[in-house]
Amino acid sequence: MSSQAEYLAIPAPDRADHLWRYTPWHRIHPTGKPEEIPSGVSPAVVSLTMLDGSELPAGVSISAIEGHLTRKNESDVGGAFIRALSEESAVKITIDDGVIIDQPLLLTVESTGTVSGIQIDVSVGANSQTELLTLIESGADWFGLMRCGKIDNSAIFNDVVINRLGASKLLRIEQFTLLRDAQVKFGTVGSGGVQTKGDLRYILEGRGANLQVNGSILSAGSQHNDHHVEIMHEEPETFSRLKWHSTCGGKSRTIGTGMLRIAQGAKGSDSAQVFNNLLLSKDAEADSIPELEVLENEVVGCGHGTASGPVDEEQMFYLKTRGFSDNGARGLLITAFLNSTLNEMGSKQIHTWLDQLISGGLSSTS
Amino acid sequence: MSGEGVVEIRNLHVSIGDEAILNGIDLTMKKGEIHALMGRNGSGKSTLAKVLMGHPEYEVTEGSVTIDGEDILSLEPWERARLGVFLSFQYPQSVPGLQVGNFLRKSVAAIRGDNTPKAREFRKELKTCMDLLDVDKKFLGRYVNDGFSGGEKKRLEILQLMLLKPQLAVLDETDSGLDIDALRTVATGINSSVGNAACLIITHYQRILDHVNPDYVHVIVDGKIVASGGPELALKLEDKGYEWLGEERVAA
Repeated sequence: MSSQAEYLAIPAPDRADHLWRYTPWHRIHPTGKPEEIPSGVSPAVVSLTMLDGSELPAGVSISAIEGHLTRKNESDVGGAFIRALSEESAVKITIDDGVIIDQPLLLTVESTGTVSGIQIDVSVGANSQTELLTLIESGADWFGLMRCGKIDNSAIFNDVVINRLGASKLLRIEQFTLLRDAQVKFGTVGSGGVQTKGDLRYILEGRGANLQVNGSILSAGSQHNDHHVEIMHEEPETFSRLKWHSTCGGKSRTIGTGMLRIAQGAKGSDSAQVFNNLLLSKDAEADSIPELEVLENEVVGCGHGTASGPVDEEQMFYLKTRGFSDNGARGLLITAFLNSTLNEMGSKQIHTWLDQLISGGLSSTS
Repeated sequence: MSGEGVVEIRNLHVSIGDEAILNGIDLTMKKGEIHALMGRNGSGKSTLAKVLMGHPEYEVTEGSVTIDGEDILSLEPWERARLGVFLSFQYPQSVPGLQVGNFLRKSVAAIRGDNTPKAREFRKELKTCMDLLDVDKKFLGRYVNDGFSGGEKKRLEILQLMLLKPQLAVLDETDSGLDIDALRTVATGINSSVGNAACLIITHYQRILDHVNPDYVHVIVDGKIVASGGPELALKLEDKGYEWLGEERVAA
């Protein structure tokens, strides 16, 4: 069955489906008509370098592949749609076993044309130590990004995806599998795009796998940011933390839904998820729905929480007593709020780079 | 007494809603002087501190506060800070995500403006202050007051006092929550930085005044200063408590 036929065979998801409750499939679909697969799709332009622009070291490569990435999800309408769009726009990034590099890799993904999509397969070798920044930049009105990957035994891997799209819609579909003792941090930084639907799934498939997922989302104007993060503990002694911070200004809407699953037999699993929202205007809206599904009795911990509120007036007063004007204090608190997840995302090099990126986006938050 | 180098508080009345908290505070402080303000819980000490800094919760219903003849009550808190008013908080706010080093650098730039030291000079000045306060370099990478012990919070407040070089320093119960060694260290920091400032130390206890010698001691009761004197007044309060003040007021 072709990718197109495969997509068309999947019924459009109902809004009763937790995943599509806040952003119905037709709203994120490029034409608004789920039965359509747009023609004339443009490939994304990708470039992988070291962060300083230098060439890739030995043991790291990028190559074109046939686009057939799939997830462990029978009715994966988002994944099937991106596959249908981007069969000929797919790459594989390979980090060989034992590769250790001291600066992050930078993958720049530029969407082109009206509708654009790409599939990226990421293979991180055993005992490697690397960081990957993926910068999604503007171009197309609609962009579909599908990333799947495997983090092999004992690899240490930091991954950050930065959404810097302009007036575009983004559908981001993701699934990564962590094998034994892999130590992985996934980060999402969102400050661009008019509408984003993210469906991010992480599977702890090896004993001792350690996962941190962090989000720093800066919403302004009429942006709509909906991220669903699913973490599945399938093996014993696995660890995960999800921390998602969103600032919501203007008339923007931010949604964070989490699903934490601990499979039967995943004894000694330790997991927690928290969503925090900073509301910057009366018209902004934030919804956070963390959910748990625990099928194993012997777990170390499994918690969830969420909090939403405006800028704290006592914090504002404290900063003003230190010479910061109203706008200065407010900007500092917004940056601090986002930094508390941003700073968890990787090395100091990444923080510095991201800090500059975030600071530059603050002017449009009120 | 208006003029250069003088902080004047005149007939200051302050309320929250319908409740009057300060009922006519009069206090004059010259730069270089250390004044201690003592009083029971709820007497209005911390309210005075916050009002001087411009906390929006309080309404000044009468009176004035001037520095060198300039009214500060009409100024925003950040304008007061830039004019040289500093408040060391009893309970400083934590700001997760804001690193101490970054915060200090930006705050110094905001307050000292054109006189902000260049990066190298600032680092040198910061190191000198941190050494004096026995603060580890790792402190700079932590988030402001986030997970700090009581002593660490007070050290950070005094570190800011030292770097911001105010004209009027109001220290609200800076001694609370400090052990003896930390108190001595913090007092060293205070002494090193208030030589050119009018300093108002708000405290319950004599012990900080053993290390930071006040020129004047004032007692506040029910939102009004009822007694003023030299350091011996603090010793008398330590010895006799506040009851005798009530008796003297009744007798008078």
